[in-house]
Amino acid sequence: MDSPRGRAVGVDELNAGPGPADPVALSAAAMAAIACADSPGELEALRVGYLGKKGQVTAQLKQLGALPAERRREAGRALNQAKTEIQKALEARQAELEGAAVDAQLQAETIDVTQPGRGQAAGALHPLTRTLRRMQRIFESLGFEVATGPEIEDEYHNFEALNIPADHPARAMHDTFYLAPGTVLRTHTSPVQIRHMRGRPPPLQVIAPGRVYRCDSDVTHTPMFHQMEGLVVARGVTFADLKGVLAHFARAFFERDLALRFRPSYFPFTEPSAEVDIACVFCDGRGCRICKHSGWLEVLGSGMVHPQVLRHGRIDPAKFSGYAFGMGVERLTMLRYGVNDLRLFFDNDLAFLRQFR
Amino acid sequence: MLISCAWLREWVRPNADIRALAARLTMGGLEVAAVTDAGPALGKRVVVGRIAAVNAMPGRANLKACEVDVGGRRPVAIVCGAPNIAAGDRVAVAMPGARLPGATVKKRRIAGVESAGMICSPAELGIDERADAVLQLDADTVIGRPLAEHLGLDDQILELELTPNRGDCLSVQGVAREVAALFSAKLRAPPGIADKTTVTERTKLPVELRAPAACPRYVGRAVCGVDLAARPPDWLTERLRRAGARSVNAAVDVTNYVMLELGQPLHAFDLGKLSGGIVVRQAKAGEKLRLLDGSRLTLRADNLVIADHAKAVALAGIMGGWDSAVSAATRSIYFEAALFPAQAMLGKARRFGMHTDASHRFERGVDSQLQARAIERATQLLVSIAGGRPGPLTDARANKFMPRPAVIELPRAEIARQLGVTVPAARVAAFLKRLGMQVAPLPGKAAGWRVTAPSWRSDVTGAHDLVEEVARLAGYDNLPSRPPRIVAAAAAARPETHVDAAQLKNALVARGYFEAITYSFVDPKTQAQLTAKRGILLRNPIAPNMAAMRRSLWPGLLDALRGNLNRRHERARLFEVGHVFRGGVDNRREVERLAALATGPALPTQWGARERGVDFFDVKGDLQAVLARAGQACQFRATKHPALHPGRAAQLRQGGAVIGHIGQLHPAHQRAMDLAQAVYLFDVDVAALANSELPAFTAVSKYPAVRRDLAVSVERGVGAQAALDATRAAAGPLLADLALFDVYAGRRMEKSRKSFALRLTFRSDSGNLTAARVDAQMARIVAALQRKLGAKLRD
Repeated sequence: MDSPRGRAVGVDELNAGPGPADPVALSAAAMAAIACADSPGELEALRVGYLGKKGQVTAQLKQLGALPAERRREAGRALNQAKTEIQKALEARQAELEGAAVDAQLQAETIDVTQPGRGQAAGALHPLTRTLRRMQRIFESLGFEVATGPEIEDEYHNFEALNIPADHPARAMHDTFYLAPGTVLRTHTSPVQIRHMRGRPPPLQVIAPGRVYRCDSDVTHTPMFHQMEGLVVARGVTFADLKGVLAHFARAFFERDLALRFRPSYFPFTEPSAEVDIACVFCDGRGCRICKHSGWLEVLGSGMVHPQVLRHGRIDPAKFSGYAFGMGVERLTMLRYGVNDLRLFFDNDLAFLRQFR
Repeated sequence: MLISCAWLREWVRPNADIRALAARLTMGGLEVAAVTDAGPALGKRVVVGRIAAVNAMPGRANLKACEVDVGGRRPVAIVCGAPNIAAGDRVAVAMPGARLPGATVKKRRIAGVESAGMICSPAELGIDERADAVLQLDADTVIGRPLAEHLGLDDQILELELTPNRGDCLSVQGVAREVAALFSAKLRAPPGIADKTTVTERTKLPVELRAPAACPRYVGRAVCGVDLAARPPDWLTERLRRAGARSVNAAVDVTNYVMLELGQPLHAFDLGKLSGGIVVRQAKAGEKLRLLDGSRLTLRADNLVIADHAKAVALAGIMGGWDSAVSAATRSIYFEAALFPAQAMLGKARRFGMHTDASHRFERGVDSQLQARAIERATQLLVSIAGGRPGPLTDARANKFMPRPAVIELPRAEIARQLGVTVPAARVAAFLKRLGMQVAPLPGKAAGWRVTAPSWRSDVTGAHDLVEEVARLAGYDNLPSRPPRIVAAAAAARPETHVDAAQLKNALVARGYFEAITYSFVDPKTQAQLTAKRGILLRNPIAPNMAAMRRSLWPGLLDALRGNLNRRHERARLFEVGHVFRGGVDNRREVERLAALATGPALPTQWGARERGVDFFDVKGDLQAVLARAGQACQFRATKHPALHPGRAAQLRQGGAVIGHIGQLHPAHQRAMDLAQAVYLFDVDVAALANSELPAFTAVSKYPAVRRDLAVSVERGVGAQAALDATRAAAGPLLADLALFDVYAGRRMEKSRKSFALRLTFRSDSGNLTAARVDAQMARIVAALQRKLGAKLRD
């Protein structure tokens, strides 16, 4: 390293000097030399040269005794001051050199922080699971608990107990898979209503998510899909409660202040029955291709539990009332994420699944 | 259900345009799926013409040069190729400049003859599909009148999607009643509809109701001397067309028209082909009946038939018979309007794979007071078209079996109890009256009503039905909404130690797995190969390869894998959680399982890691991560499984129970499924992992640990688990940690042996461990390994 401070004064030169030197000059020379030292080795040599047992400062201190008493005191002070100055300079330079060494090492250790990290990349939940979890969380926050039921059902729970006797026209709307006479794949999650009512006394407030099956397969139908059933039975439950809960759900799920409309409809197990439409989330109700220019999207069916169904659930309809609803999980998922083909959910194409990481 | 607006407005005229009408119907529960125009806008250049003359064209057998009177001073010349053209016919003529749905008509030369327009088929006019003949019009049609005016094409068609409870709305009359109620408008039947027929014929058939529960009422009438070659008028066939029905002949058209107008299905027999009289009875088992559509049925004893004194002539409420069908040659007909209650009709048509306009209505309930009125209406129309002498009306009834109108008590409080709002009493009564209900005060002190439902509302049977009617007329959107509230005591929180499937799924997602959802039904053949049984079979599967309920999640996952490999995803890690179905239909067990598979490179393509294929131990590590969530102590034990490589398969045991499997897909299956690379699978019972243990704190030792490594060689058959277990057992409580850190078999070993390198960490809670104490412990371990496993210490 070039010294910017002019010519360095070497230790040898200093040692070679005759007689006691001026401490101020000695200190100045030492400072200059220390500033020029480039390595810990050089610095050590300077320390030995000035402050070591045979160093110049040490040597001069030893010679103080030879001075006349009146000069001895002042010379001693000057020498000690020089010694302190040199010591400090040595330490400072030492620290400087060490810092530079560390810096150099760190510099040498630099890596490319933009190289990708190693290891497994994260997988993903199925989009329907995302939706189901979200639905569940919203309803749990309203005090609903989760109930489940079998996917292979008997006709009693799937139909009769829900007011759908054999040959009822509503049965024709359920393209039912049969496993044996009287044994079916559940066509909706509604049988869980009956099982739950029979399982415990009211008040009840449950949701029942799960797979359901219909013997139908085309562009807009898959033979298996998911529903989430809701059932609330207690004293004093009314259609107003149903409207309030579903409006809350729709707004929480879509995270916006959606308009809802309730349309009279027919389900054998509820009365009054209502289909619920939400303002189209793609056009805000102005009308677009997705909502067939109606401004509305049908998202669920609901109603007050039919008294006969309460009786099948061993609940007295004179004392208790209730409401029920059923939602299509695929439908909500398609609306939420803009998925345009139902069948993608069951193709399990990684290119599709990765989009939901 | 298609309803012409013009036809509807003949019955009721609400103060609403078509959009408002459709919106109110939809919000009243009669969903309008679409509103379409009754026909294209044809303008004034398409007019009624009369064929004045038809001249042959030399050398052009299929073309005719027509002279057509279109109301001008002289006829226009038009060349036409239609087969059904004769002088005197009234036809639709598109004049030059007329815009048809397909093209604009121009004057042009055809085969050397000037043609100044076009005589149109229904298809060319865009009102029907028929393209093989020109549209024929009523003989008295005003010549030169725009066709759109004559046919009344400025009309809209409402496409209604009716729910199965509203059978009463399957007619113009029914929808009109509903519109009147929704808009509080006046309902008025079209003039002449209620006229009594003048009887001019004595012919009468005896009618016998032998199955009165299935048919409590049968109304019939003979009409003699009809001319069924007579053309039904344009207004009638046009209304049929708008309702989706095709004109056949006067008798059939009239029965269809009355059904569409009033909702009562009718049938017309050829009277000459009936012998003796009408008997409504159950079929004899094995009795044969050929139907109008040509199908030949073998009947069962629970089929209801209309028979004459010789044989069955119609399948009651579904379709008439072939042998007694009317034709153009029929001279006398017999009209039937019967009542078949829904209960007796449900499913009957479907059992023969049939669904007719009649069966659709009867299954949804037909008004019990409609039959005679429908016959009168049909007679009136038929006579006006085809002439004839009507006979006396036969109205056979089994009063005991006639439906009674429901009388329902509706306490006022019930409305508030269901709807959460008190509707003013006057409004409730007004709503119900608008719907045709008779409303009287409830006897006694309680406030409310005694309501009698009209004969056409067989769906109204209880107070809940009336509450719905009140809500419907009030408008659901006008009913109050109440903020959510908790009505049931919050369920006790799940125990902290409960592990649900969501947590297990999260563990796998964190390790790079994607969740799949596959169908619950799989190919029975694949399933039999992978699980040794075909499983519970569906009776009506969507496809043969989706016919068995899955016994395992593996067939579905492997199928999903194959799809992904075909799409060039070489690295796949998939899992699924779902029900599997074990046992038979009657002793079935539905169990929730978690399964996963992995294939391809162990890691995604990346720098700094040597690429290698995923192996058993990678996947085992993933499974152990799942088990760690559940905090379950499980053991792996080598096993055989039909799906798995015999040397690379393990069962997962919890206590004595097998709760899962892991292994490599058997190479034979891999080949059969055309999978290029090895696949590793696991499967575990979700319920078995549902309970973890609550963590229990133990004091953390203050003393330093002592670490020792140990290498032993054992026979190749000795499992690592055995070595670890033996080590742990011999080491006692001082052993804080034990890890297998190397397994070696190779050149530096005897061929029959392999070595395990173990790292042991000792720690005491009560003081520093001395070297001597640890040495003694190590010696005991070595001795135990020697004794139990024949292990030798390696240098």
